[in-house]
Amino acid sequence: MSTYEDDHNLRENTPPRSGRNNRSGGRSGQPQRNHRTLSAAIDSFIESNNPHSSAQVPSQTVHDTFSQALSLLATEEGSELALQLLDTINSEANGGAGGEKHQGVTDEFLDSLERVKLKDVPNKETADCPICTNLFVDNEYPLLVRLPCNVQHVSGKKSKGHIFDMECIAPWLKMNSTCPLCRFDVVAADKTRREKLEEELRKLKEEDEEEEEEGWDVYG
Amino acid sequence: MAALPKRIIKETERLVSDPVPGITAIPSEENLRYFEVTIEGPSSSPYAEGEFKLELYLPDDYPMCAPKVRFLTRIYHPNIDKLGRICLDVLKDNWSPALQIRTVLLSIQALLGAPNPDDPLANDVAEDWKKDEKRAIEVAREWTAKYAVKS
Repeated sequence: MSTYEDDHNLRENTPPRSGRNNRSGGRSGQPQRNHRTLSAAIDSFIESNNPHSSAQVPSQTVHDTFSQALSLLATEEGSELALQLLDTINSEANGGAGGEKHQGVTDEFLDSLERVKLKDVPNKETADCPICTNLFVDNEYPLLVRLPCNVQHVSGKKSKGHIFDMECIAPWLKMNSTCPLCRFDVVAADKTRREKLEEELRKLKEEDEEEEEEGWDVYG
Repeated sequence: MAALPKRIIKETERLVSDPVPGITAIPSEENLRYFEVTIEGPSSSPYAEGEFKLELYLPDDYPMCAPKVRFLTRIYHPNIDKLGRICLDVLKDNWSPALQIRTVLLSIQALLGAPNPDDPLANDVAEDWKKDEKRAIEVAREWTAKYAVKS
């Protein structure tokens, strides 16, 4: 009579530790080592997702081991699914570069948003936060911020970005870097602004150096 | 259960006091995050004269996440599958917390007036639609008369 191991194409020595191992490795009877890699990866993945776990694994490590395990599966089985999963987690880790998904902003970015005083809000008696729809004037301690929307159209004047309660816009921007009203990508704008600043700084530096050289010509 | 956010209460009140023409949304008595919705088919579409029932649910993280909306009435439409799931950008990647229940329902009504077979959810319907639009519109009209009868 055939044993469970025979039926499932398992080696006699493979300890059937859990159903998960059998399922992932059993089909083609791969070397035992590979089962361990995969099961370790899955275990660490599960552990890191468990908030009560004492040994927290940094998510980066989990991502790495998980993709390692998946590529192992992919090479040995040529598994379409593994390749697809690999693609997915890679594109997610890279913030879906080239994709439509917008990643969220950092806490530093939130801190750098322009604060607006209630008295400076246009039509302040009727203005409300587009997210919670509460009037700004009804808020006893309003903390209002302006997003840098349409900054490129503004010539010299103050930017006319959309205004939100900080409390409301923060959780949104952490998931998605676009303005809820006009879909302006605040992170992209911030990046262009930084690049421009760096460009100007570099130019200034170069000019400085040139002047220095000229200086040597005159006085040297 | 956590208290209902003020925004949901305000939206619900306005849906009742200032309803969108051709659209009703009534919160369930047991769960104020669950709405029974009806949408009238746009007059210039094969869904005209039909009244479609939908269910709408506001997830816990609404408005940071889109409401979940599904057709309960059967409908022949390239962007709505046989389970009633809707392929609409503002319900997925293009959701914004500045959108509301009423704007979402208006978008769905607009989708009835402007089927988009190039971005299908119900693949068989979309193919029929592209192959023979006249016939597809005829089927949509038949289904409307059969399933979306005003109660």
